[in-house]
Amino acid sequence: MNGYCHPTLILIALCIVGIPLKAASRTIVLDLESTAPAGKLSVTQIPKKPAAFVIDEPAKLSFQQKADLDSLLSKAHAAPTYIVIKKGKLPVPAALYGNELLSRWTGGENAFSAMVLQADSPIPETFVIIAGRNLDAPTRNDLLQLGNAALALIDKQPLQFADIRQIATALSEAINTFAQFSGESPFITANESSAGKQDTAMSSTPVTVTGQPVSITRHQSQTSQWDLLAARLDWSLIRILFITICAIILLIITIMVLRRIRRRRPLFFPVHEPRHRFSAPYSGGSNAQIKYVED
Amino acid sequence: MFEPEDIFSPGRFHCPGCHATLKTAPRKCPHCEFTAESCLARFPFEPPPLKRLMDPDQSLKAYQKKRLSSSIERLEKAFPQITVSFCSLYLPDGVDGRQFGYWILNRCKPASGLDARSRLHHLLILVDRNHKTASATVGYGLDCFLDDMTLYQTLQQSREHFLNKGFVEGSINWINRIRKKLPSIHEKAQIDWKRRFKKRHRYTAGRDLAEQGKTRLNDEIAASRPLSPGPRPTRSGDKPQLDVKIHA
Repeated sequence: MNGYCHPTLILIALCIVGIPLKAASRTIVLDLESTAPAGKLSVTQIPKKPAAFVIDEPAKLSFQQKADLDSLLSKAHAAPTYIVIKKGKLPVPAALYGNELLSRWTGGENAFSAMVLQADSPIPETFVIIAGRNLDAPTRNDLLQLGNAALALIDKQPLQFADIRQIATALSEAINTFAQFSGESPFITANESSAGKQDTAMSSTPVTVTGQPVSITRHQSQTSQWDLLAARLDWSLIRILFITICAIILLIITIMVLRRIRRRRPLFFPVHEPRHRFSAPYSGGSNAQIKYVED
Repeated sequence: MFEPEDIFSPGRFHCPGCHATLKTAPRKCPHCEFTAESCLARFPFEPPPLKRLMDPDQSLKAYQKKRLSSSIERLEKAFPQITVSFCSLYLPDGVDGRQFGYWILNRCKPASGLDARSRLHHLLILVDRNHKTASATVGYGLDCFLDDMTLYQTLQQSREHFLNKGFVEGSINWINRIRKKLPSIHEKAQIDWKRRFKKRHRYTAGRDLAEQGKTRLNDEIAASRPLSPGPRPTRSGDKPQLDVKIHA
């Protein structure tokens, strides 16, 4: 391969190496009062409320393990905690999916609920989703820290049963304790509620792991066809394809530029000793002539 | 022994006097006895110095000069060896543009040795406004690459421009055509040059080295040959014996 291709190859390699293939775990805090329903999801995409607390679509867990988790999670009464292991990619963004499940399953019974959601896709993702109602900003931050603390128990992606169990146990205990502490005033008064709604309207969005609030207003959180489509797209593959195509285009441009530079460089004819004709010093009479007049 | 002309041009030349096709490089045309001296004698005066634009009648307008100059500059930039001159004249009847171009190119005194060297790669476009002719003449350095046929073909291709847009536009078009054609000619010349001359040089060099080695060996043998007649020494292992004999 020509030498001038090396920078582009390095660029491609850097781009490919730079692509994060593992999605990080994260905590999502939802306000069931303000988060819009996912909608437009088919029945098969939303599992029914489980009799126990574990849904394992890819059947990763054994019967014994499921029973163990069920018994562990059934102790929590103040705030139910579910474990959902979804087969394949999530049909909608995790926040909407979690909101849809928790709002359907918990109804208006509990002030708080939580879920450990794991998408069993080629790039596994784990979400800790904590939902409440009429959450103010401090409560939201507390819940976020709580979820992050549960996730922090595991260094790597929780793929094993022990990891999921650890997260679920920690989350269930923490959320129940939190619910019991705030149980004295689980629902705020009407006036406070309206004030709180204004507050949530201002910051009614989930807070990410990094602590930066995602700036989504209420009308933006409405699920559209685009959200559904976007959730079904394989963004990592699209990203790889995009980078590859960009690299190829860059390569072509580089080659064209180099060819252009090469074409524009000055050219020299081979120099030779002339064989003089007609004893002339500089020109031997090589010439051509045309008449530029109509015959 | 090949010459570049034997390789890059078919070895055919045209006499500037009678335009007869000649196969060798003669000192005198066998048909019309044309020589450079006879041509110089035909125009017994000093020509003006060769410049990029030569317009003694001031027939060119400023913008035409500018356009011509820029297109010549582009050609010279792409091929720094080549110097281009454009000359617009009103030649009297009976004077052929080709012959006059040949005369100018050979008669104009170069300003320096460098100029004399670059004169070999000179390209002269001469427009005779009287006879409505445009001719192109090249120096020795270029004529084996830009042969008469190439020059004629490109002039023919630009003829429409000469006819419809005038000789300035025609000349610009011709210069641009030549500039676009020269890279392929150059590439071919480079390939031919490398293939033929390198091979020959390598072969020559190898032969020379072998001959040198042989000569050196013969010299050594001759120097160390014993005074008394003896058996002819072989190449290997003869030195010690000879040395012994000499020392003895």
